[in-house]
Amino acid sequence: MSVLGMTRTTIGNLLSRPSTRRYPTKVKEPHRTPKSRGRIQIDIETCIFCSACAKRCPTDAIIVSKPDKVWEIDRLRCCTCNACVEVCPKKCLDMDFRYTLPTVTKDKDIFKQAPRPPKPPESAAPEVPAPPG
Amino acid sequence: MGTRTVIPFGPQHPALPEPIHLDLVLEDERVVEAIPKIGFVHRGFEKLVEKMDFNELVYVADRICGICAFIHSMAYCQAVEAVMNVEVPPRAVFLRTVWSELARLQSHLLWLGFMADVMGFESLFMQSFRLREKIVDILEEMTGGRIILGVCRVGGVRRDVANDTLAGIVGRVKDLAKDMRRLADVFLQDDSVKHRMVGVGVLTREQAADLGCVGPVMRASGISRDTRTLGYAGYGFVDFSPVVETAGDSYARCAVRIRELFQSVGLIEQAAGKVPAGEVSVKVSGYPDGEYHSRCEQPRGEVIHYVKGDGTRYLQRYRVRTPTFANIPALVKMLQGCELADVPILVLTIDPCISCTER
Amino acid sequence: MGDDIKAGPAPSDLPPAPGTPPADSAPHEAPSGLPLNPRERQELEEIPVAALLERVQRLRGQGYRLVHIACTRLVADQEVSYCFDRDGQSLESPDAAALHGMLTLRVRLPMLNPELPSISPFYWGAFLYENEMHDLFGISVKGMALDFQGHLYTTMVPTPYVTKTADHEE
Repeated sequence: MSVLGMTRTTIGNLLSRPSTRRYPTKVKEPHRTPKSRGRIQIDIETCIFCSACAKRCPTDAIIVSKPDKVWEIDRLRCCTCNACVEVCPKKCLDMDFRYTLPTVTKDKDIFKQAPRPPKPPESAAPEVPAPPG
Repeated sequence: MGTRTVIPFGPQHPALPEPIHLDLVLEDERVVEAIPKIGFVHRGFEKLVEKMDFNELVYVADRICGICAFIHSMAYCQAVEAVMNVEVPPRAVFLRTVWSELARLQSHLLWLGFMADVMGFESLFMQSFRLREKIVDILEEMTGGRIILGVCRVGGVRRDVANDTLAGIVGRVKDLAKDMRRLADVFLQDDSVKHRMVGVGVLTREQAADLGCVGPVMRASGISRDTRTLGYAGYGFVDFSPVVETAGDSYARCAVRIRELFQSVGLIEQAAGKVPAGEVSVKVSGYPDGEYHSRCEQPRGEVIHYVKGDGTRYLQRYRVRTPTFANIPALVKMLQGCELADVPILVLTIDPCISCTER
Repeated sequence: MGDDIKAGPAPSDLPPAPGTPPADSAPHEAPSGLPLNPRERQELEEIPVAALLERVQRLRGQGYRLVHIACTRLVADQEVSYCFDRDGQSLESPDAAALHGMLTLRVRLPMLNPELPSISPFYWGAFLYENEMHDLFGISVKGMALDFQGHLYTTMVPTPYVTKTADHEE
């Protein structure tokens, strides 16, 4: 015959501090763990727009446009599976451990590469090697 | 002879957050017949084979269920690896075993919480979830995801865990086992809990065998069958035997799941101690051509992933048969003759995961 | 077809998993000689529709458990696989891997108006699989224990797994 077996645990819980926190005023510190899958970040200046990430994305969240030098991601479609990070040849994609905050609109995050300065024109005559002697 | 009324139970009901509908034919508070209806969350996962190739289907397999996600992806990967004759490196195999058992721990703790909630024992529900949160934090540190781990791939796993991290995790899980023991004592010995569960929903051994039940529902009726004895994924190298009870009522099913909690802690310790050095995945080339039924033991029972490939990038057929699908006939039989107040307990005692069932 | 899917050869280079001692604990001995990740023995048998009920009745008498029923839509016809399981054995037996196994009975059906008899007289729990076959593949099964009349899964497109839909977008 066992009654009130939970009493000791309940009184202990009442007297100790709560195991929940008042989110969003208090956020878990550090933000989750270093390996947590939060959101995809891109270093747009290194990107070569090969579209490997867009081909690998299982939810078609990434759209790459090479002529416009634009890389966009639909945050609500992204399922943080890390496939794009693994396949990027230039390693410009990274998984940040902070997750996307809730939004009220279905906006995409668009990243545009800054236009590169044009290369200097090559000289008309080739360099003449110095005569021997 | 009383009057008969039909009461609809669900799709929103006090038992659990998943939609299942039962038409209960009552005769003065006693259920005479129950007619189930599912299909409220049918998403048509299996049709995605036309659109996603066999490598991308791992992400789909991960997301079939929100509780038992890892074992689904592991079963899918095992099916494709068997069809393509891929040798998974041993380190990956043992890591998969560790993660399966951690997933089983959090699933059983979730079930215990829901069971307490259905009985009205809210503080026990909160305590179970408090404990479960620590297991889920461990999973997040290891893999980055809490439930949907996203670590399995065809040919191995995607993340590695250092050996001393593994040893630390084994120590933490063993510490949690002490809290689990206190929780288990309340479930198994408290009078108010026993009054709601002992003698409720008895399923005899013959009935369990006839209806084709799987998992703890079957093991609580005295049939000793556990898909892990097949030896997939490193289970051939750890010592364990199926947890069996003979009473066949809800209390026995609760006892089976509680004993499996402690069995999982022991299995994690054994598997983590045997993880050999090496790489964690091999490169897979070619396309699957052939078929295979891959069977794994989920917390709810035996899950089957049937994969059929015809040599192209897209599979021909991918079928998942989840354990709740096989346990619903048992639920229908158990409900005949019970009281109305016992219906939520009986619905929960088969550990239904309706989102898995309907895919 | 009718080819058997037997257990493939055990991987020749067994990984030395129990022999690699980790730093902190003593190595355990492996309880049996099972290879890592063994492939289960699964047998396949193609039978005509007319022989289905009689075979299922015989399997029921031998104590087989119905594991699942799967349908596959092929190019020109459909096939239905009934999978049964022998009693699982524990790891004490040295030949444990050979005693497990699944037996699959396969029936081929035409694409137009496929029909099957129900196996509910022998396996009462088969009604869910048969209703699912009817709703998703359009196979009409006669004599189900609980007939949902096509309302188990309410889909926008009837028999979605045999009709090619244009896309899966919202």
